[in-house]
Amino acid sequence: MRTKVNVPRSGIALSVLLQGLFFAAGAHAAAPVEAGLLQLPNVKIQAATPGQIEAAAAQRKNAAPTSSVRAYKDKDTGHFRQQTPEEMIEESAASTPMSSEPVAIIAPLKGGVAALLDESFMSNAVVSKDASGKLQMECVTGKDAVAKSLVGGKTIKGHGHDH
Amino acid sequence: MITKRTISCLLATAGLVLGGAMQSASAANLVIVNANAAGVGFNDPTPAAPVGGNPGLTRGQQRLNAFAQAASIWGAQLDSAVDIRILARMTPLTCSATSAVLGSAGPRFVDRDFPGATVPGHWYHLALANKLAGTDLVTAVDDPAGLGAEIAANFNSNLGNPGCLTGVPFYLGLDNNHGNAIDLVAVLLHEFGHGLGFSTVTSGSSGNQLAGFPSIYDKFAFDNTIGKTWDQMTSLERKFSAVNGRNLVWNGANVTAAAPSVLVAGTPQLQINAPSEIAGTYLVGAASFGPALESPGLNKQVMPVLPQVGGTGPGCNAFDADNSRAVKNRIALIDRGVCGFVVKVKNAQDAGAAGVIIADNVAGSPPAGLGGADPTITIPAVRISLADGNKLKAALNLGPSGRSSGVVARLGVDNDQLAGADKLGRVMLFSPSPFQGGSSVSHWDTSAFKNLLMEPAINGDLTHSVVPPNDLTKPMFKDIGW
Repeated sequence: MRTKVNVPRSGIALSVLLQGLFFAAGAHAAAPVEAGLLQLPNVKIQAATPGQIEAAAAQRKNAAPTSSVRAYKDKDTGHFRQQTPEEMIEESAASTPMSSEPVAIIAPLKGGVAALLDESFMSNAVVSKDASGKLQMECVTGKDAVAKSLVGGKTIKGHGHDH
Repeated sequence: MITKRTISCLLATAGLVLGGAMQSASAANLVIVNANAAGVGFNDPTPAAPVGGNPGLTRGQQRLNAFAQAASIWGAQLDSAVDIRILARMTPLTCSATSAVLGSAGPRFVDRDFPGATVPGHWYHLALANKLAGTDLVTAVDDPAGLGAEIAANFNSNLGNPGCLTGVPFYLGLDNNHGNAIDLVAVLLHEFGHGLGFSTVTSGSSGNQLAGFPSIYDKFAFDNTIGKTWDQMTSLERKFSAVNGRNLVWNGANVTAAAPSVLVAGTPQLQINAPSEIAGTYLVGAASFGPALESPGLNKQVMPVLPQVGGTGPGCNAFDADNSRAVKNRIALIDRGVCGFVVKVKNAQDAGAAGVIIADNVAGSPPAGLGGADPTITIPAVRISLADGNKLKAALNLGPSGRSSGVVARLGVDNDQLAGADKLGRVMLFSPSPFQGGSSVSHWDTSAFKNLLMEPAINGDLTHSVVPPNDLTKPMFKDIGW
């Protein structure tokens, strides 16, 4: 036998609302955790859809260079080294300047004006080893700057090449 | 009976539960969107042993955990009701056995004149624009690529493999205990920093603004020579400013207020006291060996080290009688080249010099430091630029005794100036000559000490903190509106 309970309409609405809220909260907390993966505050991990993966790959393929980080090894010692000032000058002379035009200008539905950027606006991390074996990392932008950095390190934190 | 007050209370409680589950107060959620296909990058199934607090069981999991760690650090320091989506991948990037691109990151969009913009007519990185607007301004529907992410990040999945900086992979631990390896979390913190707002989209090499509008970053980049911020300058002025070494500063109240708690007092400098024609303060690069410069420092005549019979290069051999007499109890001026800095300085020390100035043999300013190590060196040494070296040499008036030049210098530190800030305490932006694509302008100057996260070089002693007293990135973010 089913028991009928009279609940005010506002109570039903509230119950549904709270159920929804707690479900949302609970769903977040109780999401299945893959062994080995951390759950950290303020971070969510999502898998991209196949369409997004394809779009990301296509965008990268067509894009100008991003900002990156590089490293350099001494060819004789095998140790990481810094870029020499000469290499720095050579690199700078050949680097592609940041574009002054975006890939596209769009007018988002929520207002304002947005510019889609190409990879010339991104930072590249590059790393090198000095003669003593110390790693040196630097941050540069632009495809050509990256290419140049790959053959020699930049002026790093006051220590340059050792002669 | 359910009253309005009861409902309010329940809703408030529910809100607390929901809010607590989703995001702590004054924080932001960063969403790592794993854009790797199955079996590669973040999905690499290669088994891995847990390292440095990273419990990942596969290489892919450990990479993802490192990304999550960097994102979590930023998330705790930012404040936004709008998720920040990072389109993240690890793929093979350009490298050789001796050098490698570690990765790249940056904003996918900038936005201007949106509801909530604090300064009209200025580009904001989209993550910041969303925070100020309180809504996702560019959704996947608006995004021509259909991605809807604010930041893109792509890091090298081959690092450490044969032929790609062989034997030096990313350190995937989360504890900053990276030793001589490359700490992925630190690199990610830096690159995410660019994506969140630490960069201008105005070209430093041409001075041109993006589509004719300045960045919010430009509102705070102030040139001490020109007396304007970047958003007030012409393109020509910006082009000059981008290479105006140590004269481009960040004019933001939060950074300037925090700087004394982060940067140490004492800026290395060379003060020329005579002759009057060249008197003034000169930029120097400090040495990684020998004693630290002191205040007031060494006040001596400058004597050049001249070519000597049988010498292989400037200062590269034990000094002959003439050079020894010249530099004894003086500051030796030696050209760069042929042999190591420590060799030159040690030879000068052995000849009785009180200090050494190395004059660069390649144009560029500010001068880089002096690398190398020799624990037996006990005298101070600095590097000056080629141009300044030539200026000093031209002013030398060598006396018949071979002991005087008329050039008197003080080699020391200015304790009233923070390392990496100008005399008004404004932190310097990286603006060397020649221009360094991607490094110039959108980083702190390398003279900063403590070392800062957003310098162009990612130094090995960085902590994983982005706030004072360890770092100035968060105050900078507060200046631009975070």
